[in-house]
Amino acid sequence: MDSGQSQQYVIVELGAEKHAMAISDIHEIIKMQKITEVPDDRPFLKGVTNLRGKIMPVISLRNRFGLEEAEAERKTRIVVVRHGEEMVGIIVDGVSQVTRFSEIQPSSDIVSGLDGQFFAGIGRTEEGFIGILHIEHILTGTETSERQ
Amino acid sequence: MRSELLGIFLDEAEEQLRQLEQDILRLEQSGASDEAIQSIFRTAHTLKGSSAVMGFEQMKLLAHEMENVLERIRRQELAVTPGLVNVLFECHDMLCALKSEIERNGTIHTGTDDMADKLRSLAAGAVPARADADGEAPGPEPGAPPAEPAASAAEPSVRHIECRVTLATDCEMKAARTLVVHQTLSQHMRVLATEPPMEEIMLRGDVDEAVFLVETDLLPGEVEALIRRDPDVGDVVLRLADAMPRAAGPAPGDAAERPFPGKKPADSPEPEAGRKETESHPKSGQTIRVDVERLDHLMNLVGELVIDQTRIAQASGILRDEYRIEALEDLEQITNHITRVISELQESVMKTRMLPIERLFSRFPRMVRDLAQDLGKDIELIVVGKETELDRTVIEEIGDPLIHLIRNAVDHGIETREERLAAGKPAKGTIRLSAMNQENHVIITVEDDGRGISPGRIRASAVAKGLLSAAAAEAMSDRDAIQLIFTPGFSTAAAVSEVSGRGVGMDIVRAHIEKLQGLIDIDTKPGEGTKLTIKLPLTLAIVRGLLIRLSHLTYALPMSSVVEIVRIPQEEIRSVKGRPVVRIREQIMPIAWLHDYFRIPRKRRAGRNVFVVVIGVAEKRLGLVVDELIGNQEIVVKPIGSYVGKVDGVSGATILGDGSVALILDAAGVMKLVSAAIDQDNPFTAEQAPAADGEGEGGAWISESNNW
Repeated sequence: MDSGQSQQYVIVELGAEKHAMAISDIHEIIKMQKITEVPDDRPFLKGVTNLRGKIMPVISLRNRFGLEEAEAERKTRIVVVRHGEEMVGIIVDGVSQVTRFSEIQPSSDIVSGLDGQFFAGIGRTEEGFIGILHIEHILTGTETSERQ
Repeated sequence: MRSELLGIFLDEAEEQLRQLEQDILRLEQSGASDEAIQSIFRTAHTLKGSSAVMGFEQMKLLAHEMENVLERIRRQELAVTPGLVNVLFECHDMLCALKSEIERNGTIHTGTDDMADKLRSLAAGAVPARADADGEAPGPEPGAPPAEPAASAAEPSVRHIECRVTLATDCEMKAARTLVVHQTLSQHMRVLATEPPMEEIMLRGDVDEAVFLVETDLLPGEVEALIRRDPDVGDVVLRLADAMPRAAGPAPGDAAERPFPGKKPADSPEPEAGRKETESHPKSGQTIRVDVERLDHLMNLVGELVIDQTRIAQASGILRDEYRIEALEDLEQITNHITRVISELQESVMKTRMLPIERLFSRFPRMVRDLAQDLGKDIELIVVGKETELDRTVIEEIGDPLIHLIRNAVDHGIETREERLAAGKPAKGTIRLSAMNQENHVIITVEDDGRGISPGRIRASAVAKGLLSAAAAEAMSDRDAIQLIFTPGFSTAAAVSEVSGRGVGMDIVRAHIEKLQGLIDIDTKPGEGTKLTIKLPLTLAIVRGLLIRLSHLTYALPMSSVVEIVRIPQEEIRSVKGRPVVRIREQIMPIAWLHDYFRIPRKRRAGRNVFVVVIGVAEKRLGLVVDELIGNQEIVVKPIGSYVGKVDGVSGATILGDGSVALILDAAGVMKLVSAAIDQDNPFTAEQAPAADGEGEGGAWISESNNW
């Protein structure tokens, strides 16, 4: 993968973990909303919410990574991304900063296993390495193994 | 300007082609009656005129050749044979194709020589001498006078026409515009008089309406087309003034007695030709064309308003309970007023989206005729209630299912002539297509007097196809057995015919109709016929919904599927064959906890009673146990989107007064969900949540029909 210096990334928090999402993937970031459950087989699909008059599905990134569900807090955010014609919200524990990476490596070198598909690459910052999320795979990829 | 003209031409051509089709049908049915011939002749002639004005030579030529054939029929030199009618239909179809080509490309590339030859050879055998006079006319530029030698030779009638021309309100230099119209008319005909006189118009300058009395051999439609070539002309009302003496001076001073612009002079004693022409622009002064997208946008905005209005009402209610201030009374009054205005607005916008179902129904006479001819059957289609209005999206969506039902009726329903005679029925079969309003719904029925459907055959066929066991089929009532035809993969046709196709059958029809929040029901008597009844909502965008709560979640049920709401003591819930039931007015009613299907914990009820909302789909009833009734209100139906995808038992979502989302339950889907669970012989336990996780699992026939 090429060096992604021009691209900006938003750092999202998930418990103690940090991941990066490309700003170009993100439509907007909103506070936690009231979510209406929808009967569905995907455990990470939390339900739907009202985004300015449109019905928007919301998924939990924690669930996607097989993490325990957390209570919504003041810092909890929904990152709204585009999926085809519609918007989908991704719940994260928090959004901290915008950054650039000096270097990006393919994720397969470092992350393996089922969760590997959720990463588009690994970005390097002064503080260390951060996984860059592959949004499309997170939305539609196959089920991850339980990892508790 | 050109495109505007083109648009008008295309709209008119569509109208005329539809008329032409009906005329040809009439010609076939009633033979060469004067009336039928006149009507079809007129239509072909108008089409010829307008396509000539627009410079669509091929179209004009075909219409012209058609006219020649008709002319010979009129003179009784040609008999109306099925072969002849088929050629006329073929020509009509070609004209339709040309029209779509113009729509797409703006010009015509399709060759029309073969068709023209066919028509010519029809007309041949005798003297179509006039054909060469304009059959090979040079490509006319749009400005050229629409030459009509054929028509004038056939009926050398000189008409006096009074043209009342109103200029568009935003038109500038009105006097000059009027002069342009005057000159256009003068180029093509004799202008006998102008009211007010031209001099006065030029002096006054601000005239926006003028009446021209002309003498011409053109048809009124052609005169109108000429006038309408000027885009600044807002309205044209023509009136035949044939009774007028030839030497008429200035337009008679009885202008006040003449119809106002835009008012259809329907009661004036005109020859039919004149009336027909005026009708092709009904109320042109009072209607405007609006892009459908704008209407859709308007409807969306109204939808937002409805939601906001609910929210305002809710917020003002909360304020009132909290603070007792006088100012809040004002707020409440305003809220009430807004509510009233919005509901009126909503109704008006809804009405603007309504179209008469004729749009759709007019396609069927021809279809039935063609199919019947292919199958060698004799069938009459009776159409009732074509003026019934429906939301345009519903009309668009219901087309395919209706085509299917009518094809079925022609193909499988109506027997062959011999069978019918043997059964003591009239040789001619009848299909009755009707539409009518019923409260907030439209009822469409397709009824035939054919052979009907035998429950026995359905059972046998379903068992043979492995859709259910022989025992299950035996245990089924006749009525339920008939319903099996809505099962996917079921097709009653003994032999797969070209007409009805294979595989896709009534299940697709039902899926289509349920997608529109509609219902379909079938009623059949072997030997006597079949009747299919479709019930559709007037509109899909905004419906009345009953808000209910299951545990902590709010759901909306369309009021159209709520039959009644009852309160029942918990101890009266019984179990029959493992199924919970209650007794309502001596009727045993199956009940269900949707909680189990939606994986919601059942709530322990504090009270002794439970609320049961009885929902109905066709003749089926099911009681839903709900934890709370919230009330009923207008709900705006919104799609859930493709990411979530199809949720069994849910048709969409809506936004409530507090801004949160509630799912809209769909009664037919809920029933399927519940009966699928029963078919899997699954007891109603909260832990197992049947069907909710199964896509077509278990092979139970009812659950499969969810997968459309």
